[in-house]
Amino acid sequence: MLDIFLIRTALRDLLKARRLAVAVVLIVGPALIGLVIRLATRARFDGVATYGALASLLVFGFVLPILAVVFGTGVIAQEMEQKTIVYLLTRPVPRWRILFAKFVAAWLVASITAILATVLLGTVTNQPNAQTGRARIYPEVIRDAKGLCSALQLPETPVAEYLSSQLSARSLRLLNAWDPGTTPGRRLVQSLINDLNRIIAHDENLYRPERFSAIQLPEDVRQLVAERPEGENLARRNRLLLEVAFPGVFAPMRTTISQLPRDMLVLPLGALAYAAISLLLATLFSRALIVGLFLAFGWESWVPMLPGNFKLVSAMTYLRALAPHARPEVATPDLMSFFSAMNPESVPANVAWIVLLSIGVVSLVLAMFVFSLREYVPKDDA
Amino acid sequence: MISLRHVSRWYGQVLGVNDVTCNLGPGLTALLGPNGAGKSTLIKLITGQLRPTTGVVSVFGERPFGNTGIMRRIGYCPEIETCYEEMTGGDFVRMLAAMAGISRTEVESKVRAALEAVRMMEHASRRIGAYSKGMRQRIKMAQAIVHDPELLVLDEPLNGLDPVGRREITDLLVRWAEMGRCVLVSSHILHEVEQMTRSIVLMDRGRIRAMGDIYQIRALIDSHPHRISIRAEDVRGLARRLLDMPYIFSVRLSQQDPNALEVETPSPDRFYDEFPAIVLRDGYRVSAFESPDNNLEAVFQYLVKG
Repeated sequence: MLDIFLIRTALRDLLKARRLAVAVVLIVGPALIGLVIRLATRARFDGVATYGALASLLVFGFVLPILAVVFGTGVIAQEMEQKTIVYLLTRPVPRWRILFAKFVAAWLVASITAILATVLLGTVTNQPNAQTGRARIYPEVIRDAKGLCSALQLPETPVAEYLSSQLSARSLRLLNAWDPGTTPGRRLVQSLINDLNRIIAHDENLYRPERFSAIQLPEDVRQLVAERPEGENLARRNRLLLEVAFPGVFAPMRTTISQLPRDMLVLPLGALAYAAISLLLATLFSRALIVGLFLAFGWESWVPMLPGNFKLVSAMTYLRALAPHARPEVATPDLMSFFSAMNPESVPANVAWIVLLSIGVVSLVLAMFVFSLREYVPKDDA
Repeated sequence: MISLRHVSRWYGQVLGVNDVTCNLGPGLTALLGPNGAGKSTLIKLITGQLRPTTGVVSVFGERPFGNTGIMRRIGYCPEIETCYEEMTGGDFVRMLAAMAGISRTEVESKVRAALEAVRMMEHASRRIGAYSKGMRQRIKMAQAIVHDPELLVLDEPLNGLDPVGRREITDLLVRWAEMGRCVLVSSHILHEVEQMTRSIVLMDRGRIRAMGDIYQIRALIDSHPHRISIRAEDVRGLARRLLDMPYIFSVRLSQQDPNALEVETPSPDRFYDEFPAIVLRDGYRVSAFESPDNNLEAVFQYLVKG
């Protein structure tokens, strides 16, 4: 009962008008940018790529960490600054309970704000699609049947070569009989679709590093590849690989909305990890906000790019593993892609869940422990 | 109730409290000393916000730091002026009452009683941010007494109160002590303390200089001449009038300010009592009145050296 009361009081404190205004900016900002891109690019607008770029850069890369750091450190920093911590620490409530209740409130506000930001962004960038999220191919999915047939008739890339080697005898016969100057017939296309669906559903060998070495895989596809998926995820992987290998041939499988539930689940976990680390910093340092911001925007943005296993000491690495986003790849190799090419293997999703949850729980418990033992006396009073 | 054994507390290189040993029981005890004497540090040690560097602090037989059982029995009114500025006074007291372990059914009646005791009922629904200094002091009092603590610790509770407010709070504390509870009040103003209690603890530079009955200490203090400076229009006339008073040692006109004079007296209280009457009767226009000695610092300098 008391805990709920403490959480409610802390929530009310967090939802002051001035803070709400900042929260609204953080919620609306990414969506507004998404809308501007949509209006500016019109027909060429790629919802998934725009959502991916803005979600990973702005929501996961900015809104989430800044909220978590500011609210996480604020749990103590604000009470110290206003000196009101004195009232709390002279009450017959165990110190760790006070801290826990205030942390829960901070975590809730940070999570909900970040979730609202991504929902709004997802809604604004969503492009409705006939077969949302399904891997199977239908005739309507083939946007460029001619391109597909000519790529398979005279394969020029390793992927096309592999695919044509997997085609059924009937498809090969129809393909050989096809005149590249004409529109492919329905029987040919349907036969190819059958073959492709077989490959999509069952072929574990479609991906080989050397086969895709010339192709830049989007982050979420890289993550799927690294997980060696089975069943539905295998189909997803194969379908996405085909999309990447034959650009423009298939209608995109992914839609923004289909990624929302996952992001809405991962954001609170990220908020937990970042806010708990920030809280721990605040129990230890009086200038925790600065340290926290450095950690969130210095450390977290550079360490994941370092070669080798360095990236494993950054929470962002695990967040990316859980919520990979298709970002538009840069054509010219820059420093970032150079580095990320040096550590191609990704962290498995279940490991990422465990690591992030552990970071959050361990930091929180440590913070409660430190808070119970240390003296917190506002400065100029001493 | 409170027992300190060779308690010292350092802040880095700075000594806050230096080898203090004392016992405090029921009734009202005043902790008297100039600013920086270590009163607040001592109070923070007793209310479990600080741990002693050396020595043992014990309240109700237990060490108070982080001790929730002890906190339940302590009411504490801190020196800080800030509260939760966005909250209303009522919500502030209500929150701390709930945190003090008062059951839900009782909270409202206890909060009301505490607010009435400090005469803040009518301001309870206003934001603390809009409170005057005196109102803040009262609302801080309310949160300290709301859970009926056995030990009430107040750090400079009369600061910022007007004379009527001082009277009310003083009466409240005296009543509280008369109920057999323990009340510890810190102050740097002797006159305040005299109206509350005879039992005082004198602190200076982290040490207890004297303990016990106020009259013994008072006698010491009275032998120390007290300076008071006054600004008035007819400063020479006033000077002549003041020299007629038997307990005035000297009256000196200021060299810098033609309208100012300085009086020296061993009995500042008598002077303070009679001066307003003289001013009113003879129509002197006094524009400023202050005592550079009224902070205890000067008295302590004198006490410690003497």
